[in-house]
Amino acid sequence: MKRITTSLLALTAVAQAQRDLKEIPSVDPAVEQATFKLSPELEVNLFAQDPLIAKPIQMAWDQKGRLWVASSAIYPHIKPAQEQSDKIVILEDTDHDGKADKSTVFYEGLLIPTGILPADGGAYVANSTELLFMKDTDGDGRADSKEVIMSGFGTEDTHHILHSIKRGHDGCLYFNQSVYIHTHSETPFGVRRLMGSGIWQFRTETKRAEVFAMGHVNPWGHVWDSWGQSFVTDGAYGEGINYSFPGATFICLPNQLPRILKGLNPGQPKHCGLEVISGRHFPAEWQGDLITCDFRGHRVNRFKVSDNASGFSSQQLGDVVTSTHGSFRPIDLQMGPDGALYIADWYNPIIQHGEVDFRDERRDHTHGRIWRLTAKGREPSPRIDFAAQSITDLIALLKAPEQWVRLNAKQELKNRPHDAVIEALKAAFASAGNDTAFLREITWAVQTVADFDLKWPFDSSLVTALLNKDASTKGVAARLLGFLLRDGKGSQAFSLTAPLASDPSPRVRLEAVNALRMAGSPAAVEAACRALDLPMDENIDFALWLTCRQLADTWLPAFQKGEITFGGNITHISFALKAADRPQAVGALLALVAEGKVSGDRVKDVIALVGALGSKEDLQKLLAMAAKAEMRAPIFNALAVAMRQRKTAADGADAFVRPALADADRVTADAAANLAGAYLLPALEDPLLNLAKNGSLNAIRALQAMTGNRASTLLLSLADQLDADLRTEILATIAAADPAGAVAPVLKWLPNAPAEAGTRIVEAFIARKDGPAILATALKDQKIPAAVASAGIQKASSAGGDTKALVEALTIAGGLQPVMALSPDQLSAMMAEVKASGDPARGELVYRRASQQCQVCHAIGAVGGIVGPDLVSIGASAPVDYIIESLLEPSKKIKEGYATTMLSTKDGGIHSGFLVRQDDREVILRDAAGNVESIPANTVAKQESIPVSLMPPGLTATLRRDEFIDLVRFLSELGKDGAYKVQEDGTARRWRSAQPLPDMGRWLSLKGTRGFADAASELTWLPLYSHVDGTLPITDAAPFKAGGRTQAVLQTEIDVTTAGKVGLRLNDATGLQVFAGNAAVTPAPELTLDLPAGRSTITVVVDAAARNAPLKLSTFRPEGSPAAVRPVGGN
Amino acid sequence: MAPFSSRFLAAAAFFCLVAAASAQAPALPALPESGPLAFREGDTVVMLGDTFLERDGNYGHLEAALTASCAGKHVRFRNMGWSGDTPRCESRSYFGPPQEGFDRLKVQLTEIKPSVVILCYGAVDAFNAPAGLPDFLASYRRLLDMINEVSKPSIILMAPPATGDHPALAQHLPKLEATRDAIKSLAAERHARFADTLAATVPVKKQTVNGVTFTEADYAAMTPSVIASLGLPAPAADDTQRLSELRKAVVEKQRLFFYRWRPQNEIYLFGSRKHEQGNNGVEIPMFDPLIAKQEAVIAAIAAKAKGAN
Repeated sequence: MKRITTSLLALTAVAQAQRDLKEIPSVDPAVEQATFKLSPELEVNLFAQDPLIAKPIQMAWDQKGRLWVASSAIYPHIKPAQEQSDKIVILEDTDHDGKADKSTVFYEGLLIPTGILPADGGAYVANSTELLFMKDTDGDGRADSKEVIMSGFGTEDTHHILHSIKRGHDGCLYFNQSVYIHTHSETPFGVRRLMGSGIWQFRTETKRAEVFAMGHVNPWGHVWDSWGQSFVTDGAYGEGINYSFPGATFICLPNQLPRILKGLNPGQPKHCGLEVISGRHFPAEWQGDLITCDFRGHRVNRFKVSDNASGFSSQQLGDVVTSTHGSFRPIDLQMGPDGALYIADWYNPIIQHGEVDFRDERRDHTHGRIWRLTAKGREPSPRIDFAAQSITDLIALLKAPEQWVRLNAKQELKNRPHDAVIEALKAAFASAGNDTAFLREITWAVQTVADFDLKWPFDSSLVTALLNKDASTKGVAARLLGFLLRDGKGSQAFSLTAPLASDPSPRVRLEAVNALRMAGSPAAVEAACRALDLPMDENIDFALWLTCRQLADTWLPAFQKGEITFGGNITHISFALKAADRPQAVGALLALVAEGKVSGDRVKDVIALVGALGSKEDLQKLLAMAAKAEMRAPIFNALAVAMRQRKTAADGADAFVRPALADADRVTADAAANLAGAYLLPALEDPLLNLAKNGSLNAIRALQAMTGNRASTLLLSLADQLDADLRTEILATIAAADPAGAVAPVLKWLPNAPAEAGTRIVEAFIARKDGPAILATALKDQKIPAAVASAGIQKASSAGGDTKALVEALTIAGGLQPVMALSPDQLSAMMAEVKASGDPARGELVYRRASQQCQVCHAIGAVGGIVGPDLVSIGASAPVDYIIESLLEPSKKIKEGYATTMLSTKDGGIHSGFLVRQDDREVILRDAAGNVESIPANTVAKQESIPVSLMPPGLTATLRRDEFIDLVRFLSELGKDGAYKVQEDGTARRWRSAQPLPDMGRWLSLKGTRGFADAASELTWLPLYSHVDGTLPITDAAPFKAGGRTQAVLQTEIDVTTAGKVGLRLNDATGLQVFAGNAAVTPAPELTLDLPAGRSTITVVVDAAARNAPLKLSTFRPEGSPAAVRPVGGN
Repeated sequence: MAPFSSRFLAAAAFFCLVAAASAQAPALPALPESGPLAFREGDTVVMLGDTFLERDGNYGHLEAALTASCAGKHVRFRNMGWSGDTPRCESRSYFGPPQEGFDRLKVQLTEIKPSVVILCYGAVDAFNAPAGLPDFLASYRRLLDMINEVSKPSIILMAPPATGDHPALAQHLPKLEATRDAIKSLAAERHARFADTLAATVPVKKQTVNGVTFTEADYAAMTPSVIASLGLPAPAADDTQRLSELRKAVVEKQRLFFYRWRPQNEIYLFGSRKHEQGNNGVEIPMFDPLIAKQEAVIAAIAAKAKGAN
């Protein structure tokens, strides 16, 4: 078989200097517009284009209905001797025909301005390290005054710098920074630092800046719904719409908190910009919908969010705009003063500068468009001259359907006499009755005009009145109370907030828990924990955890002194102590466990916490609790952690460990071996050898740790009798301690070993400094299976350190072809071939082959492995040359956040992998196999980020050229409009297939088909993922024969977040038996099930004789059902 | 533990490229601890601190006055202020702990080889005064030790400036005073010159941006007394034209130097994604000749005007 790499060498050179250049589309706006496919209710026109504007990044309307645009021709990086000349341009449509007819350069001389908000008589501008406020004081339309409002914003990446300046309903400014940015800013309340991404909240009156929410990779979208709830989109992460609230924390690189929140639409392409539809111009069914840009896929997407407990669920609707024009890059959206939706089109064939050279000639620096989307046959929203309105009129405008009008009315009130405005707002509030939308707006108007951080102009009657209204209005009141509680102020506010933690509405409870965090007092933590008395959900649980954690230094001493008691409520106390994650909390928790006051499922958490944090005294108490048989395993493991991570041991462990090594319960015996190994307990060789024979990895490791080289003999005597995994483990254990001594048995084993052995053995050798060279020398003239070699190369090449010789030795021993880089001409020729003859359908089959290992590490649309980036929109975002080079030389192209971290420990060990999280206690790495490893922070000697991909080179070396071309074509179609765009339509795409048992017939006769649906059954399952179109070939499942029939069993999980009637749709019900949980369901194209909240399994048994058709199963919400459901993703 | 050490090496290599341009005569005898101050021929003066110094880079009042005080002497100024910074170098790290910033600063100073370092810290730590002052002083001593190790420069310690009116700062002056006193004692301990910036700026009427950072007008108003507190001659009252021209030239130089020592896109140019776009890092040293050219412009303005006086 001809291999790809050799055939590449044979390629004839094709003269072509600038690959891809011919794919750069026409810059004619008419050509671009002709490619637009629109939602049927809409039409589009060009509002503004180059040269009026170039490279628009962010835009915002001012009160006069003029569009301000921040634009950068300098991006991505200023050149030496280049003028700092980026601009803020003001566009006007003076005759209201929907096209800009006037443009003014407000300011020229900026450095990549990434945010703009006209307000307060001037404009806020994000300019590199600074937030500026610029003003035109002489009325010529150009800025003549420039003040630095905040400084110290990081600039580590110019598409992450300070951006997305927005005005909240509450009158605060909000602005974002992205994941590579580290900001340090001096404020009158002290220095504020934000390391990584997050959303700032800024009061213009007091210049108070605080971090509102943290996380996301590159969040360029932030809007509020009519109830003041925040939604965020992420331009470098695929979870669609994210619901955010004060303190909400999402993914960061690495995560700074041990837990984070997730977005509402996992598996989406990356989204930039966000707008909420409001106003008379758009049809009723669009109101409140969230619109965001899939800038990689040249699309504008639409989502509908609906309440789901304290948070929301989000459902994707049909696209607003799709295009095949390679330079159409929608990145910002704004509802205009006429009620139309305006889209900033950055217009560029190249989307960013991480993967493409700063000075790449294909990068566009001169074009840009603003498109205007209107609803067919509908009147524009009425334009308002805000300056001409009276105070009363402005307050009346707070009832306008257009959010933009309400926002500007509130802003205009700031320009009016303060006392008169407050009086008028009080009067309006008093007469608003039950118009809760109006009440909320009045509340926000007060927040907007008042210097409320310092002085709240109302007595508590306003808040009290709000608290008598519906849940959403109470939520607004709770958010306001949070502001009033800051800095330990507001005892009256506290007494109003505390009861809200046990409000019947989950949204109010969430707001209350967040507000109480602002109070910062022990009593506030005590009050917040009352939320535990009512049903918790992910958001409330997170918020309460954060409150208890952030305030631990305040409340924990008070609790220890008895100043707060949580009313003796054990649930409250144990939650708060566990969240505190402080050594001082451990003793109190242990006492609760000893008294039997902690419920079963929490006990294990507490034991683990003692292992991580407990003092010697705590560990001693923990050991004493091992008297109870069922507690032994977790206790032994926790004690082992304390010893390995902190060198802290309990005395007298012998007495517990020795008998436990002979325990009939394998888990207990294995944990005893773990502790024996950690403590190096003497004279346990015989029981450990017995355990090792029975497959206890911990026993093998313990023996090695205790007896050193002598163990090699003992263990080797066992190795031949054991199964492959254990044999590998024994050899790896020996190799890690004594690489030279391990060589002979390793060479004996590898020729017959499975692929996994390659990973494990190589890992063991490279953990020692001299290991790689020893193994490389030993492999000379040896032959090992290609799969073993490939797995070993994967480990060795992502390890850092000097493994070059080892990689070469493995390559030769495994008979693999070395990976070859392509010349530019060869690359051009291959790209042409991909376009001409690549078949994405065949390519998908190559992708799905187990031997290619693609799915082990990568997901497509959130189903699949989590080691590498989700490939859902790789085709829409990456040029073909990038994809080819990524496959052939993975380390040349590493997606942000996927670099490898290498740790050297003080004892000479080397660990490498993806950095999941790090704090002052531990560093958590995930290796290419998805295994997670915790390294105690105090043992780390050196930490480096190394430019090596976890993706092994040579994965495609076994492909024929045509197969490789098909694979590239498949990847290059992913995310583009067409058959390879993942549809978020409730289709279950993550499955698992039951593996046949040795005696399937007997098992079936005992258990019946229903046995497959039994969660407790001894079946083993292997993951399977559907095709991109959502179908799963029946033949991909493991078949088994029993009773003369061939069957296959498939299972998927769905997550019901709000209980109720849930619909299931089957593409074809023929030949299927279906179980929901344990209950049999009659198969039909459409089924309705009544499901409780939580995860439910759907098991499908397929009769191979009756069915060939692939399986597709989708969930939906039947008419009138309150249920919220989505298929579970992941690996 | 020394994480990210390979990145320091990268930073070191990067700054080596300018070593030739920054060649500096061997250490000069220390500047006087008190009395009048005069920079010497060939001095390289690094200004190190937080927002107070950093933002002067936007306006140039302080640096223009410093430059005017030593016209004709070939003195170079390098403003390395960084918002929110402390003697722990908390603002100077990128992805690592403050130690990373501390180590990077050392690499930078090693290449610049300052003969004088003017430090203005304390504005950030004053919020934790007096309880946090022992830690502040300990970290300050460590920073001074490092600077001394690099090039034994003369050290000038400035007190933090006075803050302006802001409701949140009503009780702030005693904290600033305690911080100032601590810095003053440190200066005595290290035989360094001390400048009481606080006393010099309390009487000045200031608008401020947010109570703790200053407008251009504030810098203009404060500069004469700050310069005097350093022991330098205040610019003559009829020297406004020269100072205005100097200011413009200094701001432009500072802009170019900023691109050079704090370039955007750190992650791609010198950080963990250097393997992708690090080749673009070759452009950064190209700012050196531009900076040198601008320094010639500054010297010409200073010298010409001096002759005119």
